[in-house]
Amino acid sequence: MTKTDKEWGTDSNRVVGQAMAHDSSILHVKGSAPYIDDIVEPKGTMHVAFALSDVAHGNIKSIEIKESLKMDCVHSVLLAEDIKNLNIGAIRHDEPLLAKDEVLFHGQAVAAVLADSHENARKAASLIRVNIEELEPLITIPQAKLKESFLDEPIKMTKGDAEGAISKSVHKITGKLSIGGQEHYYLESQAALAIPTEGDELVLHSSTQNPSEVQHLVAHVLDLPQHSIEVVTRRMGGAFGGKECGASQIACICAIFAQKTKLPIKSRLPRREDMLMTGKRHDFEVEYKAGFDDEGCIEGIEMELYARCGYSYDLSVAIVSRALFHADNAYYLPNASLVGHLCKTNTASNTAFRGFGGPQGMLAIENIIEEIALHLNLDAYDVRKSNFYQKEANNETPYGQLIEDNIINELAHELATSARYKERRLDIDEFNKNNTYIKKGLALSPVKFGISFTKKFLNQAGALVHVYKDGSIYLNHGGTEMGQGLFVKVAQVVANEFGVELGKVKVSATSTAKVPNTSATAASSGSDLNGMAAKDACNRIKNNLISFAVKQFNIKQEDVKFYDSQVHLGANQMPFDEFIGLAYINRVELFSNGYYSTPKIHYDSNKRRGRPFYYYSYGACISEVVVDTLTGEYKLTSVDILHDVGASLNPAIDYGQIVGGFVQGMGWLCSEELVWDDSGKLLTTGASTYKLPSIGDTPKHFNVKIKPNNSNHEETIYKSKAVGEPPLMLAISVWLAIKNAISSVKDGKPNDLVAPASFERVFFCINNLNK
Amino acid sequence: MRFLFNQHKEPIDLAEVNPNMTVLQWLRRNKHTGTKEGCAAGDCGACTAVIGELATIKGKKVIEYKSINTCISLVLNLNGKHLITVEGISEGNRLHPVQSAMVRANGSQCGFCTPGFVMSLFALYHNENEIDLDKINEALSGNLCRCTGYQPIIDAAFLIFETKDSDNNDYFSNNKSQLVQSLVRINEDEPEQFSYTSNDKKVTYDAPTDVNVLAKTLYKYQDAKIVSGCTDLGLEITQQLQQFGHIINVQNVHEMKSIHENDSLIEIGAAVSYHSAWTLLVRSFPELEPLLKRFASRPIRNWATIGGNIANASPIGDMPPALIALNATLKLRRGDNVREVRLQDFFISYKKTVLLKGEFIKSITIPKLVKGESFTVHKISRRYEDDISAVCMAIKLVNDGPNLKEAVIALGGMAEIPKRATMLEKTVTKYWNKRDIAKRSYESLKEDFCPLDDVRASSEYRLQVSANLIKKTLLNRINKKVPNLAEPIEN
Repeated sequence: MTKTDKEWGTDSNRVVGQAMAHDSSILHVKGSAPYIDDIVEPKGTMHVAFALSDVAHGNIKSIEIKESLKMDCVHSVLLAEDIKNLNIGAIRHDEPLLAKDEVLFHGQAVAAVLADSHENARKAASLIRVNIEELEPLITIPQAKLKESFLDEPIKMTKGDAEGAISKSVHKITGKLSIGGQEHYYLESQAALAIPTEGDELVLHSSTQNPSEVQHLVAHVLDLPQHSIEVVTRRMGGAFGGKECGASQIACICAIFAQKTKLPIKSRLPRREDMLMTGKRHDFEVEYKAGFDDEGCIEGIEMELYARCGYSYDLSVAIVSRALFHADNAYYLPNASLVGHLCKTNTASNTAFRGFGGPQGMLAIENIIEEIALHLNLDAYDVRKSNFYQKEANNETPYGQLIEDNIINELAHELATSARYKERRLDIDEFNKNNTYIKKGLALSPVKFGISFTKKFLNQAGALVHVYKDGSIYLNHGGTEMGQGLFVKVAQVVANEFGVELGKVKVSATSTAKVPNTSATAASSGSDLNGMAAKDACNRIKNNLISFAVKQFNIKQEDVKFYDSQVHLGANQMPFDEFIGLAYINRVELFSNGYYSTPKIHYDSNKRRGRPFYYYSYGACISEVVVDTLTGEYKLTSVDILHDVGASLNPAIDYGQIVGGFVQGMGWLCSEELVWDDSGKLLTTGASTYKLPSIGDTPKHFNVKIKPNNSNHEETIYKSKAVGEPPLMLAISVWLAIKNAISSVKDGKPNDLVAPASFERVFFCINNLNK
Repeated sequence: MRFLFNQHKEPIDLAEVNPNMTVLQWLRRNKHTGTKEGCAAGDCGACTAVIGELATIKGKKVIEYKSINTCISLVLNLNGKHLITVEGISEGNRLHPVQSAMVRANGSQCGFCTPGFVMSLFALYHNENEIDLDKINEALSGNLCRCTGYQPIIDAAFLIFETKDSDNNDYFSNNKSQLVQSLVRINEDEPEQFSYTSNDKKVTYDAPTDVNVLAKTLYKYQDAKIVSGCTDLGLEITQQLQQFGHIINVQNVHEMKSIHENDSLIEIGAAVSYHSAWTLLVRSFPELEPLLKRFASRPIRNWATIGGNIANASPIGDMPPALIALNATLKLRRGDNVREVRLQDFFISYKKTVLLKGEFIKSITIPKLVKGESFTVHKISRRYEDDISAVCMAIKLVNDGPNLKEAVIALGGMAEIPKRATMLEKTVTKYWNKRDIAKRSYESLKEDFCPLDDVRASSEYRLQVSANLIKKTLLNRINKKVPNLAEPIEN
């Protein structure tokens, strides 16, 4: 049931820490929260659709656009040769807006059509014929490995002597694991609306997590200074990383047409095109070797992680790095050799997706732990406990960061006790003994996730706060709202600082004209960075107000306090609104910017050493599944989660992130499977073939708890912790529980389950065991 | 062409509209942008609205509220109905109970799927008085949410019904009788034909109520496209960008909407929706219920018809294998001629059937099981809800006392058409109760089928899992229960 404030454990008078509804919730349920395609179109708006390559690799011989131009409704067709600055990209400009001379993946845009309606533009695009001389594509990771097709040098992270340690170990295992990718399937597909204003200037409404990057790329493509372009993002209909880089192409194409025609230009991708054109979560193949003692304590570990990056760089270097940063998860690895390879393939360029490589690294190590447990015939939770990072010793990561905030031991213990892990394990063993065809599985898995952008310079943010004469407050900051509840959290911070009700604070669309050079809203950092920046802005205004009060009322600084919608002035008080009015008359500056940059972090990417993370977020999850060994079908029956969000800014929002992240992670590891044919054509291009979790997949027993009375030991915004990404990885326990159930078919024999664990894969995994 | 829209007092009267236009296109072009497009294929539910339709229960006219995927519905099919969208359920600042429950339970995050969920919940609210998790899942089976993990939405659904009696005070509950009257009024003289001309291309839309008129029209215009629920044809418009020149809607043909039942058979009109046929089908064949629950999603079941499902000739189709195993027959009509065809003889090859030009399916007749007969259906898909089968298997066993006399087994997903597995049937009949039944079944299946490797499953999985489904059927018959995990299970 829905929780009351009491159940959330919040009873203070502060606005921060309260379970406040999403700022747009009422608009959402009335259907009156506008997304890009809902904005009232300016008169004369024209629409863009794309013609795509239907082969994965080849040379373009010709592009026939005549049939398309014959349609009365068509204005023009844009080809690569018409674009002066053709290439864009997040880190390197290695992605052509439209394919030139060669196509590098199935679904690459070759031409863009401008017409009087979305439907007509699509029709016209479908009439474009692209003649391509096909070349042999490299699609899979093994193909890329064989042909040594890599984007860059491997990334190596080492600690101690892994090889030596493994050779001395009593027990050794080697193995492989393949991990599938994941389509973002944000419900709102990529979209942009470009409106010419005056001169060369443009205002762009973009569904992006990264308005500044869109602004900078559009300026680059149009050869204009960045100040000529304003990018506005009020909200996205989901993003999950897919709109960190993925929004740029469509925005740039709209901008080019807008500049050429001086007309408003809109485009939104039909679902199929969106799934074909945009990158996904990286799929990985992992090769590993581990040496361990009788207790399952890892003495040495070697992991080679091969990531399918697609045809261009995108953010792959950072993503593969984050996979390595999380290949320890919550475990102390005394000797480790972790290597990440960036496979270059003829597929869409894989990109950011909630967790950003972390989930793949974490699944790799969790699979090894599970294999160790099976090898030694131990309970996997006991093996986990033996390997957990400790507080005083055994607390250095493979990249040299000392873990100072470790709570994983007690958190896992608390969960295992409250969810009766041990008793259930016995029950399940008993059940499995007595049942031939139906088997149950159980797993507890931990999450330790590093918070901060690993590129240091991205860890900065700005905010802008205005207090109007009537005491109402306008808030703007560099973060974007994609559903995660960032806007309400930052508004809570501002309301709290001024001691007013949340309703006093108006959150506004993110705009590059208000806060410049912002980082993407990503890496779970939204509230950490923007919350702090907004708080700084409030403090600057409050300082102005306090100085004024001290003078005006002849009181001490510390006697001025803001709470209960009042300004407390020593023994007296005045309603906030009235006080603001008074301050205005007395010429007090009532607006300010604010700024924040994360302290303490540093990282040497040559030595692969440093402190890339300000702090870690922790969590643990117990999942139980039941498997039909005759068909490979399974059902997740029970989930218990205990998750650390520090001192929650908003438990309702955090709870939503935990539950939603978990289910999204479950989709990645269970039913969501991307399928390409041998020629590199993506076959899963819609929800009818690509299966996200649906409502019935939500486990019936779903007990989610935020770790109570917990606060971040670093000075984050109100001692809270980031929550966007970490909960996704709680779902690894589902996959482990399936693996556990499979092994019970053959007295705990190790098995070769891969991800995603589709019913078919589970079926064959069981068959292999029975052979 | 008239329909009621939200809380508008006057019906919407559409004189100029392309019959190929979808409801979603009409809504969004007219600035009703609360209803979203997520996939334009009836898979995600972001476009869900509700249709209020007149029904007669115990001689009394009432309104039945049914969720619908507006992205694949034709705007002309709204004739005589009440279209309700997310913008039309609150009154001023007063939210509808389902909206306030969604707010209270934090049921929205990015908000893009929210209007669809709100409308599916709206239909649930106005059709049901009591609720359980099964009903919630059923009502929301056609709505995908990528943010919330669904739990907060499930919480909202329970919340709605916690307070339903006390604040049953929304526009639709308060204006029941007026709404019935308005619907009766706009249904008084149903126009049966509509034509539209654009760029010199004439598009005709017929909506006959009399089966003889339908037969005549289709005989005359043999290239016309028959549509009812539009759940498949809609895809041709939104995904393949097709435009049809002549559409005949059979949704109002009285004779094709009727159901007859006697002791030995049931006859279902081809234009009866799965949702309408549910109760009757399940009463006669309780084993069909788990399959019906997983047949597409609630909004699809509300409108998809059994006749359309069959005429479509999908290699999978879900219901055809079950109906083949039950030895269903079809009544086909062309002009004045009516012929009967066994369903197992209806499909010829991929998407091809024995239907002639100008011919249509009038009804489906299913003989009831007699003593000694038993029936089982299995469905294997990637996801339990709203997914196309990798394999759908239906088995009718005919016993003579304790001995198995005959097995009728039909499968979907194994070949280019749904069909019987004749070798498998022989094997099952001969070796039933033998330990190695799965292995023998596998060998026979390999003779019966040469299934494809595709996005849903590999050929080998299809063969092996089908063989195991035979074994599973046997185990369940001899009381070694192997549960269907798609069904709710007790821990």
